[in-house]
Amino acid sequence: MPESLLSVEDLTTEFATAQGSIRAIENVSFDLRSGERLGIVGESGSGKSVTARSIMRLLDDNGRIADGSVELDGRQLTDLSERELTDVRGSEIAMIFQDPMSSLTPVLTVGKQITETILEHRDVTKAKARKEAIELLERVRIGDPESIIDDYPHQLSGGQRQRVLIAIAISCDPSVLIADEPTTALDVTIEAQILDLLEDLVREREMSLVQITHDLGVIAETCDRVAVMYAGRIVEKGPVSEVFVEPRHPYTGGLLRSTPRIADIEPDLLAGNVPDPGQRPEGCNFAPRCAYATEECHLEDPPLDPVGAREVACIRTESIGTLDPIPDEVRQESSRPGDGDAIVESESVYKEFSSADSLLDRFLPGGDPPVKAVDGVDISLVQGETLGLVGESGSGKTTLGRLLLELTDRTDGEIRFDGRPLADVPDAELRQRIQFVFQDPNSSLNPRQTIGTILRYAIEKHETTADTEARIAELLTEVGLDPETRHEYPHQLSGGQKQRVGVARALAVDPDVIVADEPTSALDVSVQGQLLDLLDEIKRDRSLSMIFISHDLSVIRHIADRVAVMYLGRIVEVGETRSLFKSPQHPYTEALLSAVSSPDPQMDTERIVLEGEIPDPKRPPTGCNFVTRCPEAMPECKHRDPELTAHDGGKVACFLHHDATRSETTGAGDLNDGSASRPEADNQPTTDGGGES
Amino acid sequence: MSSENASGQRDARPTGLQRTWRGFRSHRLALAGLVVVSVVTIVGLVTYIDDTLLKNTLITSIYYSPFEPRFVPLQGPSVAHPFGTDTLGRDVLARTIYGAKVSIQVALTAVLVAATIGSLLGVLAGYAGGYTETVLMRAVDVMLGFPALVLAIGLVAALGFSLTNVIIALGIVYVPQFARIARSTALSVSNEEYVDAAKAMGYSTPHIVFREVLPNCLSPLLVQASLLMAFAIIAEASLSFLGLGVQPPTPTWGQMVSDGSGYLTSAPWISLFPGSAIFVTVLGFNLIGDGLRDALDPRENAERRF
Repeated sequence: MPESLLSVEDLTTEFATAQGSIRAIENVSFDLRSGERLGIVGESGSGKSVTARSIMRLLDDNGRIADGSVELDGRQLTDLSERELTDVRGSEIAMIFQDPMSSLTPVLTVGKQITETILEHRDVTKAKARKEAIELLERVRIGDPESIIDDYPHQLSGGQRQRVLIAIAISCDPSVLIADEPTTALDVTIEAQILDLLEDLVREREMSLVQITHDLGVIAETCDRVAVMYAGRIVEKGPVSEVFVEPRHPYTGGLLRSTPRIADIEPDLLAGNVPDPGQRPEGCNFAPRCAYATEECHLEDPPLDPVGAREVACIRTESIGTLDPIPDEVRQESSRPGDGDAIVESESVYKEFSSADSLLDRFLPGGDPPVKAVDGVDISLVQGETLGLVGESGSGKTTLGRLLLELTDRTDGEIRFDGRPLADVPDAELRQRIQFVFQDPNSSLNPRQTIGTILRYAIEKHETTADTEARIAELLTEVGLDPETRHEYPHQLSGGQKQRVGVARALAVDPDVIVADEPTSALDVSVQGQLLDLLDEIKRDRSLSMIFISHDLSVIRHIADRVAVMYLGRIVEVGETRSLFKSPQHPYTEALLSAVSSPDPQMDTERIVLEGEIPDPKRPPTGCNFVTRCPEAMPECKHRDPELTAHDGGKVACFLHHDATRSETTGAGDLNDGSASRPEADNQPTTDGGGES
Repeated sequence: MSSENASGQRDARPTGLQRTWRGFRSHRLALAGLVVVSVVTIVGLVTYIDDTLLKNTLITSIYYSPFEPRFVPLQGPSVAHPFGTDTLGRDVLARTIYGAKVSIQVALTAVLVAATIGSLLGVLAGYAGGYTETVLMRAVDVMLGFPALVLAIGLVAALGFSLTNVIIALGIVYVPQFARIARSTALSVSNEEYVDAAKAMGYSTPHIVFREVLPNCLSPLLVQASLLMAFAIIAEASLSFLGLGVQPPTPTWGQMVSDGSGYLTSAPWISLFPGSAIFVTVLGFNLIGDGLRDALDPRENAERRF
């Protein structure tokens, strides 16, 4: 067995808080061999980031390593002085942080920030350092490194910034690279690029990688071994090919089973929440949520004992044996309520944001063209269905959702609610019948109001006679909260609970339509599943219609009846969920689907990694918006704009299929007939780019 | 730190007010400021009660000291007159105590007036945006163009020298300070999703402004108010010093400093004691302001060090 390069033993870190000292991680041990890729996975609050920061000794002022040792290549990192540490950090062990937006200094050029690291650790001239910086940028596959090196961080996109951070991290050839959620802030297609890059770099340079993430799929695709953390402890550790295929710890099993998947499998949810670091239970931390727990489990912390090639922290692992990571229950296709009446319809809706905000800018010539956030969108939401709206950031999906509620004024186009144009719907009726669930539960609840007050206002706004207090209790129960929660302030609740309050508020007015804007993106996997089920259940019970906006395809797969895919302000494909996921028609949809990483390491997926990034919405390409990144782009695509045309039961905006439908007279014919019965809103204007250039 | 945990888990996480008080309490200088300001305020209240209810019996008992029941001008500090007497033989201690009433009264009401008007205008401008904002904020900019004291002197000169007019003048002068802070805070609060949620609910604009936006703008306004109290005390003293404020025989600190300015070498106590009173009170309000700023800053809340 090769010597371990980084060896962490019994690492315990505590934080001083107003409630006294809290142990964020306890007795974390693992070894990292040379060239190995180790994944640390866990939900928020599990202590995975604290582990990384403890290794680097980058804890905040109120944190300290209470116990344990970190050995890097035979050197104790815990004993080093701050000065000695500076030599180790960067040159022997480097870290990539989660948020590429805040990890670069905005006042220095990218080149300065890279050469700074090189000059700090090595004895080279400035000119040489700059040359090396350009080479590094090339190695992280940034286009045109010679000009990017003199750019400031704000001139770069999120993906480019993450590449620069990687370039800085590898600039001094560290032997260990710690990546703390390097792709969480990025879009799926960019995530695929960055993961590819990391994998290649690690292989080329024979680095060891510690990949920290909440995403099981990322681990499955990029790591050799995995350590699963729960509430500050490692609960299971071993080769990915074993842990993810035959999990032993009930938490690992539960986590794998509750992950929403693209495949036709109903996730099997874990009940409950990760306990707060200050309020961890006696005995096994997972025991209160564990289906296999006995009385014994509540007595003592289970040690991490070896079982075969793995280590498992569960006293009952012998009797439990291995678990099945994939739930048996096959997804039930919700019986789609036929082609009912459309309750919300949009017809070639446009929204432009002008960057000219002052009076002077508006009258002066020149300046930036407006951002086309929503660029001629036709969608319809049929009564009783859930329409999934999927797209990357900057695709305009949130703006579209806000336009439907008139939270933002549209530039052009028509939106009909219940068959009437929005202008004819009285404001009070609109506000009562269509509601919004917001993305960030931390900002969607007024911090100065108790939960009761928030709901009371909403209830009293639309029905004055009812018994408000009873209604509040009823609503809170409906969303799975204790009615006593009404006395609490938002900051006293967990993220999942806050989002439930957000749902309760939307339900308070008894709406017919709910627009949910990424309601689960801020939540952990298990909590996310619970909320999705809640939304689905409520939708069914109250026979609501719902527009569910998300960037996460597996979430959309789980909840939507129909899916609309957006790219750069336009809808590129619409179709029934099952058929769209089974056979995506548009190249973009196809790439999106292949970019989703599956937590099953045995699944050998060929990902389509898209080149480049979403173009600037101020200057979209002429012709098809997707032409700059499309692997199938044809000369025709650069000149003409494909319309959203019926194809195979759905609609797709791609010439590939326009031709196909034209030439294929057999086979697809039946399906075309079937969809032809649906009224076709074909008002997409052909904005020919010819005049612009 | 966790003394309030007895009543079960529900109270484990303190409310905003409790947290603020904890933060404030741990700021020793701010506590000292609070003590000073409380003493001055209580003294001011006592003189007010003495003035209106007790027909000045309390204050005259200091004037006509049992040790020295006669008026002798320019006496140095002694047992009979701890702060000495002024040019007319009046007890400086009694007048300093009495001066607290005017200072506190002017500072408190002027800041209250300015805070009410300024915050409302600012929050409205920040929330509404567009033309409302342009018009309101440019008006505020024009007001800021004048030096505060010069504007106050002009207003008092136009309105006439009296307690009410000093309050009105200072109240107007400090409106822009509140309006600017309220506007910038309201601007960022208006972008929070709960304001969108309120719009989606169809709440009326007054509901959104007063229930959703305004309560979340209060912290920086509170800090500003405590700091402006200090400025208002100085401004009132300056006006009195120039003879433009509250007129004699009502004693004010500024007036007393002015009275003694001719005798600084021979009888420094006439100016020294009211001057020190101004200094200590202003310092007190400033310390409270600093303490509040730290206590209300959410980033500082969880910070505890080993």
